[in-house]
Amino acid sequence: MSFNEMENDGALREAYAAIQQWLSETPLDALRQKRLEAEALFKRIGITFAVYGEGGDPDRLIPFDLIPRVFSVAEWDLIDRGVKQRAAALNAFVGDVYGEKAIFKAGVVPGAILEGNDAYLQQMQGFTPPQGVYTHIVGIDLVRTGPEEFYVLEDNARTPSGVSYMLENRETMRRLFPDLFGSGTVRPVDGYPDLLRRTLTEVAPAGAPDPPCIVVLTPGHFNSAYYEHSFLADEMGVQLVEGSDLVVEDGAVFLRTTRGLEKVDVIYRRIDDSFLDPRAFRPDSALGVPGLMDAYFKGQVTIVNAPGTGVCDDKAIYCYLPEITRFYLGEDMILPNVPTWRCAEPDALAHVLDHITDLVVKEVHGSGGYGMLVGPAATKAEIEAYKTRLIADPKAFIAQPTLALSTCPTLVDSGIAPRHVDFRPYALVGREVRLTPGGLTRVAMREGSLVVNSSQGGGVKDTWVLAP
Amino acid sequence: MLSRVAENLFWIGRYAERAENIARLIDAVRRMVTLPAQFGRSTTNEWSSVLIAAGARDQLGASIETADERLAVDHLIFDQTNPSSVHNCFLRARENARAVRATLTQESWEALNAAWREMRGFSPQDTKGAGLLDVLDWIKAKSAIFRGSINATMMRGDGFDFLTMGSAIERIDTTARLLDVKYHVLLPSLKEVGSVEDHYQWLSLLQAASAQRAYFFATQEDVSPKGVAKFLILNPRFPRSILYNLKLADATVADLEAFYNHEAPCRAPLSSLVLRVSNLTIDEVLDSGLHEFLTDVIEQNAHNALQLAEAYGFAPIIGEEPSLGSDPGQ
Repeated sequence: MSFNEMENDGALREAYAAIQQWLSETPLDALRQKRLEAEALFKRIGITFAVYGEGGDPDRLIPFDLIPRVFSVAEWDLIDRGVKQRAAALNAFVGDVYGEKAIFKAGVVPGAILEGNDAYLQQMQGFTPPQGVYTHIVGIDLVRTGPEEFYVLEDNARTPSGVSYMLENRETMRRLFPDLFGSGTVRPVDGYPDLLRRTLTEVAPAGAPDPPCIVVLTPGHFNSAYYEHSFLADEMGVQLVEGSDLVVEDGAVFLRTTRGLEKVDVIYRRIDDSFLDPRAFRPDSALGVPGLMDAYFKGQVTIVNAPGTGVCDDKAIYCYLPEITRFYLGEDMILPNVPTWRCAEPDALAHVLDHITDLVVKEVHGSGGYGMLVGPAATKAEIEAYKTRLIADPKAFIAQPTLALSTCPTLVDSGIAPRHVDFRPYALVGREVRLTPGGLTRVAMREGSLVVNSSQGGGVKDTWVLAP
Repeated sequence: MLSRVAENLFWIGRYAERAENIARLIDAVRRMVTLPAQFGRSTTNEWSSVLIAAGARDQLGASIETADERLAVDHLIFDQTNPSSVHNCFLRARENARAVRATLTQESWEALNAAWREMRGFSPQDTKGAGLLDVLDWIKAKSAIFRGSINATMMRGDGFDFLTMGSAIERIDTTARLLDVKYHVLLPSLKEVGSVEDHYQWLSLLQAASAQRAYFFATQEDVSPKGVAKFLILNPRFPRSILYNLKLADATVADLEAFYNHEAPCRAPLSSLVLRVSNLTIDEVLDSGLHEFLTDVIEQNAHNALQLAEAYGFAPIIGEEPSLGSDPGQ
């Protein structure tokens, strides 16, 4: 039985007192009506998640569930410390990977771990970005299985998305249910754009003007996350640019404007590494800026997040995070990983092979649920086929137990029912690590489903962090 | 401002204007075809002439000669292969707006977003019979809401100027083409100046430009070919006349020059065109040939748009296509 975040065996959890009262006073029909209003609002504002080139509705919405997910003061304290620690450890590790490689020399993490890691960029070797920060915006995916049991499922150190939903979900809730926020017990999230701008300002190159010229670089308005790119640029009061709006001259990056060329100091890019600069990476990239990496290495411009930070999103590295945290910070990890067996280790491999029907086995470099074996759901033939692959190349696999994700009350066709959720808070790393009290709660709308991805029908909720 | 943003704003101005112009054009024809023959029902096919005015000859081929209301309305409002259909105007205005969301005000963006979303909900079925008028009113209302929100909420700066330039250039082009096509379609009736038939046909031309009441108010004259031509070309106060919009474009570029504290090379030819047209009489225009004059205006106007784009870093203008007719002198 999964842990229900609101109530278990009829016992209401204290953080949900206000929610419980609100739900008891609000008829289902009224909630359904409000949900329609919320959808109309999202469509009018244009908060859509268009997936171009896949057919379907270009005006598609991510389902928004009205019932907030709530964290108590104590729970948030744990998450806050844990996520900040994790962001610091990841930065230290990436800096070491592209610097001294001390952790490999000390034998704490095997050097061979970087083999086959496509996110590793040889070009970054020996380069230190301003303030020594590599991953400035970090999304840490958390799951929960009990009152005290939080686990990190995944680190997103490249270019995590979804933060605009944190802000818009709150905005929508405040508009639809102003009374819910009247008592001032919910901590605000709308400081995020300001913190983001401050973070970007802090990592501007040495010698940049104050304030520096900051831009958000988007692949363009056909990208599914375009709304978020424009939203963040708008909220920060900076330019939203496409690759063709930028040009490199004399080793520096400039905007093409109606006044002529203007120098750019910080680029918050929302395009992948391989598209950044056709001269350095994919020559066929039309999204990038020729010469950008050259300007970056000359210290003329800061790219956020730094190219090559994706190395630490790898599952092989994920499972060394306890060792990584201890090595750089001298601390025990506050938010544990999901227990993970590294199949490269003979004992672990033996355990995995013995218990494979209870486990989830994943490819080390895979993502998005591809190439995964879910033991309890797999057929005998699938398991045998997977075992063959596993034995042939054990280091390419890890295994984890199947987790019973916590549930939150959610408005569905049949009424209000528990649905599984996860959670992504966003840490900002500049001169210090900052965390907005909130994040993105994703919810699997189908009964029993553990799949919260928006591409597979997952929805989102407002996330409340209660004030002390 | 990014040059690309200037370009997007310019096109938003053009497409929003174009959608409305098409609705007005259809509305005028709808009135014409309901006239009894003795009151000016032309022997030519009005639906065919409106399609020719809209530049559909290449796309529709021979079927344009026997066009009926259904074909014309489908092509002008719904056809997704017609780059200037109302559907595509709203689509492109909204796409351009989406690319510059941070520059537009929330209300202006929502106006275009709503126009596009609601447009997708209409089908040709909705324009049958009396429904057509509702849809035309809806198109005009959506354009008006957008224009109104811009006027009420947008900062007067370079962004506003680029939008205004798009709108002014589109109107000059539309009015010139409308007048040119109609002049030729209606040419036979010139011989019978003052006839009932003549009266109603020129009246419909004014209606297409939403100029009927303004015309009577400003001129206190009967409808005549010369009077209508004079009004639509030279009236300095009618917001769809060629002169009014040339002056607007000139003043807008002057504003851009002041905003950027930098002379724009596109200003001089624009100012000289304004001066030339201001000093013309309608007799001089007609004596030297209305068609030649209008062709010149259309070409100058396109050239001015290009020069504007060059001055502010977004030339060449990509995706440029005629707003109303590539076939003005048929």
